[in-house]
Amino acid sequence: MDELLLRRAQRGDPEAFEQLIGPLEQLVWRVCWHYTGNREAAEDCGQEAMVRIWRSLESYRGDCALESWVYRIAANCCMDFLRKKKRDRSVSMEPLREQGFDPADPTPGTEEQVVAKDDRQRLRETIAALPEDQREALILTQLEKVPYEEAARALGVSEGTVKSRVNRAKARLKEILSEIGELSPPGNVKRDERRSRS
Amino acid sequence: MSKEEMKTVTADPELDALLSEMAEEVPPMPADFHDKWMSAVREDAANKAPVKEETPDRTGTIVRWTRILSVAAVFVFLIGGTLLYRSSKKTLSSAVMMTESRKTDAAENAALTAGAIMGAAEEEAMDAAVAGEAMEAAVMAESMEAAEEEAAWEAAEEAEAVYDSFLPAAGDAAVNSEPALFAAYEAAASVKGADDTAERKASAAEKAPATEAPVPAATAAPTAAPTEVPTAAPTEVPAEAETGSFFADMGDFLSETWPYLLILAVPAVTASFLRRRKK
Repeated sequence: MDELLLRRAQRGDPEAFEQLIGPLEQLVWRVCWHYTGNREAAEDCGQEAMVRIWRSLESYRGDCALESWVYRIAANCCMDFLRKKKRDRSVSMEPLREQGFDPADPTPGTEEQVVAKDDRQRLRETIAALPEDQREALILTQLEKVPYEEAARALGVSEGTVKSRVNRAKARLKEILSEIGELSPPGNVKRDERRSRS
Repeated sequence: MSKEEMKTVTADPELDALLSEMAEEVPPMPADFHDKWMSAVREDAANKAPVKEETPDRTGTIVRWTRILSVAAVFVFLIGGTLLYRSSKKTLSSAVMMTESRKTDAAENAALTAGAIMGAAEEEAMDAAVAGEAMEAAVMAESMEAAEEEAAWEAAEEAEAVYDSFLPAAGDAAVNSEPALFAAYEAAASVKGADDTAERKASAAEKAPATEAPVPAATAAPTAAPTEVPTAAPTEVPAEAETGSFFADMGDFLSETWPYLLILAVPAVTASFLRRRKK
């Protein structure tokens, strides 16, 4: 990383920021996509994340890799976006619920929703239904293929904690997906046999 | 959270395969994604407060020149101070040696003065001795002359005695041959007298006692000031007092000036500490 370029970007030079963070926009896009599972949501989160990175760049001290720092900001931005979206959706639907309208909950995580959708989408939504700490550990290490040591630095926890969260996330995923028939349950029953049974 | 969970990640082939597929199935980034966030960044930069005039480059330049000047000042202090220290050391050594040489010169001058006085006294004594010798020689000459006269008188008396001895024997003949006999007698007497005289002269010259004439005492006290008292040439001051090596002198200089450096360093360090704390 060019120190001079970083200093220029931190002082507010947009061109220097473009040269510095431009190569990482793909990373931001991927993170937003994995978190949201939705193209539009990922784009909105991505734009918000890039602006937030621009405003927060002055606080970057170089104690971790720039990629880890960028991922951290993008993940926080996505979680904020999802919380806000969930809150807005529940507020907007309140009057309808009072009238007896009970629309299907669009937020992923419910078992019924997962069953009705594509495998990948189901998995994606299952991941989205995980607790935040397990979700971000899983996305960072299993989807973005970031080494555990670097992931620990990005998340601000120990490497053992990251591994523990990933194990729990995978166990939870397996449990949910096996219930809906996407994965073989803990045992010897294969996936196709369960589908045929259901 | 168990220790096992923290050590390794459980491998589940099916789940891992699904996750790998998910990782690869990322839709392409929108074409305008880059332009959108860049425009947002430029707009945000335009809305921000203007950047301060003191750019890091300029700050870096100032800091760099400050450091260069500080290092140069340290070198000027060390080298210049050491050179001045060496110069003062030489001057001090020369002054000390000059004082010592002057003391030596004074002593030498006093010694030379005394020597001159002694020399003058000795000269006078020698003059006196020479004068005494001259007088002695004169006395000796007079005594020799007296001795010679005496010897001549004695020779004459002996010749007369011989004449008298020949006189009876040649009484008769004398009457007849008095002139020849008298001539022989005179010849013999003259020969004998001459011989005796010469002999006496020689013996008188040898035996003349060196009677010591009273020599005027040479007094030691100088009657007059020495005509010329050679003064000792002033001792040449050595061109240079020996000094140690440059770095040894630098060490001596620092050992003598460290209290003053400490007094200067305390406010400088305090100011630097306060400036950093302010940042």
